Amino acid sequence: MILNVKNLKKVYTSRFGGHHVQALSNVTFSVDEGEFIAIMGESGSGKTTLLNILAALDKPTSGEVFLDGKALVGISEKEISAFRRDNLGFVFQDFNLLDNFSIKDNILLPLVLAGKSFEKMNTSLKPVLIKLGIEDIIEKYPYEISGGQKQRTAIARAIITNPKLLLADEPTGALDSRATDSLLKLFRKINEDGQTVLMVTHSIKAASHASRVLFLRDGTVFHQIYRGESTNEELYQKISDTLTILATGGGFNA
Amino acid sequence: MHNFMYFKLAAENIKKNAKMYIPYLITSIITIMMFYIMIFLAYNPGLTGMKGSSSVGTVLNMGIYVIGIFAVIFLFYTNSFLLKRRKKEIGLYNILGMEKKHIARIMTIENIYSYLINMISGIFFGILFSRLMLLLLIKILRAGTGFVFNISLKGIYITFIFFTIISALILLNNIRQIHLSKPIELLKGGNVGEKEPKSKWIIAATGILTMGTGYFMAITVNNAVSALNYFFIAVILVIIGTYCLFTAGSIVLLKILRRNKKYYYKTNHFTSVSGMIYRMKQNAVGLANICILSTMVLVMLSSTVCLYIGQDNVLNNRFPTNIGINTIFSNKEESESVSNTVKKIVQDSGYKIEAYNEFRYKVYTLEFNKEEKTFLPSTDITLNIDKMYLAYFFPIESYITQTGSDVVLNDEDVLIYSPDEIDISDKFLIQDLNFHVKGMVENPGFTIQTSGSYMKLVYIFVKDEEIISQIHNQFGDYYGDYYKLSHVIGFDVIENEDKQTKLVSTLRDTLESTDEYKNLTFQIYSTAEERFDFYALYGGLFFLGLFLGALFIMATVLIIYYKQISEGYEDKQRFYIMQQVGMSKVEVRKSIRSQVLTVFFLPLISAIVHIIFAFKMITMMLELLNLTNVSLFVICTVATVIIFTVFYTAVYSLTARTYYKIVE
Ligand SMILES: Nc1ncnc2c1ncn2[C@@H]1O[C@H](COP(=O)(O)OP(=O)(O)O)[C@@H](O)[C@H]1O
Ligand SMILES: [Mg+2]
Repeated sequence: MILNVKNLKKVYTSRFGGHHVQALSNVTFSVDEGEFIAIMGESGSGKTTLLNILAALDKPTSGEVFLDGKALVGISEKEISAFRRDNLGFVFQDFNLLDNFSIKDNILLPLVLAGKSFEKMNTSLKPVLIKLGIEDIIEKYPYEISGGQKQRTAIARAIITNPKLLLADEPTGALDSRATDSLLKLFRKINEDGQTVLMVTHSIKAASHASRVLFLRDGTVFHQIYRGESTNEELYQKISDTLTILATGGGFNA
Repeated sequence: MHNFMYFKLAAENIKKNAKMYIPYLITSIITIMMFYIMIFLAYNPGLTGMKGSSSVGTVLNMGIYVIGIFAVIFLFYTNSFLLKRRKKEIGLYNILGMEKKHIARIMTIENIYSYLINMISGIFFGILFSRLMLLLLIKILRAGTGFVFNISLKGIYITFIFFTIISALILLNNIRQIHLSKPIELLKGGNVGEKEPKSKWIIAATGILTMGTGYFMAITVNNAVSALNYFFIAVILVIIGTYCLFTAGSIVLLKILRRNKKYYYKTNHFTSVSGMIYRMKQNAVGLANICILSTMVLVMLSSTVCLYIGQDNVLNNRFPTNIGINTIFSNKEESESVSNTVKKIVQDSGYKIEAYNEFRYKVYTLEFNKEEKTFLPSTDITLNIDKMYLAYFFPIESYITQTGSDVVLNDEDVLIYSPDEIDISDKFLIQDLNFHVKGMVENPGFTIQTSGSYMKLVYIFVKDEEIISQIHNQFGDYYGDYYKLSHVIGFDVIENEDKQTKLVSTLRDTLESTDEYKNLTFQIYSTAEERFDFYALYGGLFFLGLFLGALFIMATVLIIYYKQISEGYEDKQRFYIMQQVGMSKVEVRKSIRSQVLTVFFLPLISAIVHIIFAFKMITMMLELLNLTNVSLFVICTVATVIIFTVFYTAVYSLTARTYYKIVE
């Protein structure tokens, strides 16, 4: 078990204290090494909140998170950033590349922050570039490349540190359907190479590439689907059926 | 769309962009206010009656032009800044289906709103504060109460016309920009990374060259006239150099660092080098502006403050004695008679003469040829200014009476005194006449002029006036056919200035009405009278320095504020991403802080370097204005720099707060 999430709760309080929003009420699940998890939920269901807590970018109101046996809640600010750097990779909907770095430098950023030597960086860079098919654009700048290429760059940046867990927040949200397809294939491939992936999305298509799909609603995980032997199409159908039942108000037990 | 809608939208836009608009309005109002006040002062009816009014008038008039030029540049600059920040919003309107002409209409209404606010408040505050400024000016000039406080219709009129034209031009420019732009570009707004011009290297090299040349000129200049001649060129070169180096030089330097992989791919260097490249691309021009403005403030304040404080020093240099009577061209008998008359008048008035000195001389501008050791009359002063000497010829008896020396000169013998370097030791020629240096004199015992001002100065003491005539003869027509010499009488009387003034007018009246002297031309002065002219000129300059200094400081503050805001918006996102890839909050904050500090203190440091290089040149120009007290100027400059730095830091920390509020 690489990730273990127990009874997470997150309440946002507005600055002047008057207004409360319960983004997560009670989230519990775990992830095994090598899994490709998709967490589905409507917009506003707390997906980003969950991911931010997993990434230790935000603190839960209560509950615990263990990554590879280490508790994330309550460790110091200094430790967290080093921990994040060494164990986690991120991919975001809006890419979050830095405009002032070339593609190559964007990808190398986590290694530089980790204080790796330049030779080491170069050896890590090559295979990642090949895997993502972006060898030709590394001297360019983020504003000079397409959305799909930006997202590949973001993935390269996320996996160059060989993280224990790759977190992705609606990674296809800003892409057209062709770029979405090839990007999802890429996630599959990375997963098949042994990378544990946790992706949150509201897209059925994106979720249908996962090995397990969790459904998030009213701040809790209330249902999950295993791929088993299903093909993508079959999984797509299952997810879609599940969502229809959800919409008509049916209930499941997780 | 209904017309009313436009007005509403325009008003809302201003409100929505208050963070950008309010500082813009405030600066415009202050600029208009100062422009009005300057006109009010320069054309104040009380000015015409004042002693030394012409100097003050000239200085204040100059102020009007400076503020005018400044207003045009500055308002265009801040407006372009506003426009750039708002491109996204305009692009959104465009995409949401508003036609460009509608956007232009909203823009026009917005501009009319701000125009009205600026004009009305500007003139209102102008009238309000003009009285205060008037009192300040009177105090500085130590003038009486001749000035009149009123509302200057002329001032309102000129201000109104001038700023209406500027506003109209700015509006036209805005409309043009809207029409030229494509919506998609507008949407991306300032976020698109700027394409780098290929010629970065050339621009950087130009920068080094121009700045180097400017600095070189400033430190190698060795006399006041070339200082004056080259100052303007040097300033232009340094300004060009500053812009080139800030825009291209900084980038080139940073890129060299980036190219060095071993250096660049280190945690600290990585973020700071690329962060700085980004910031310099976005801000270079603004920073160069801050640098130039700061330099101007420093130069202006330090030199005018120095002149004002040092005006007594200047007065003493210009007029070594309280009272002086110069007779232009008189023969020996006439001179003797004049000096007797003067002494008699003073004694008859019951005053005692102190520090009396008297001498006759002839003065030429001569070119000295070092190789041939020859002085020659020169037709073109400006060409050979380094070789030119202002050569005073005195009969030796003036020296003997002043110093009590017992030196005896033969026909060919001379004594030489020069405060400047001169390469004469033994024999030399004046055109075709041979001379022999009997000795160099440390102190001639009197001052006719402390320095040649813009030329080197040399006193040559010869045996007698006969020798001077011989020298004059061989120059021929060039210096005219006056065989007569100039005659100077100088002395102090220990009495108050009113009495001195009275004595001088008695002297003037008597000498000018005496029949015997009707062929003579007199120049009669007293420091008591001249002082007013000095206070008028230097006080006027000092006031202008303060006034413009305040204006430029305000501009600097505004630019810093705008820069902080735009930096803030851009850094917000970067700040967040850095954390996601594994930098801690503390590290990010530290890195951003050091970059922001570098960016904002770079202009100040460059300005101080400029001042250091300009120091010698400015000292020499102050010498032209007869200010020779270098240590006073050092003190003024250092004090100005320190005060300005403190102020700059205060402005920085205040605006930095806005910045951190945006970022976090
Ligand atoms: N920083 C915040 N402050 C207050 N409320 C927030 C904040 N971030 C998210 N929320 C609220 O929490 C809920 C979940 O948001 P989010 O996790 O972004 O949902 P999702 O990513 O699934 O669309 C929403 O109701 C949102 O308005
Ligand atoms: Mg979200």
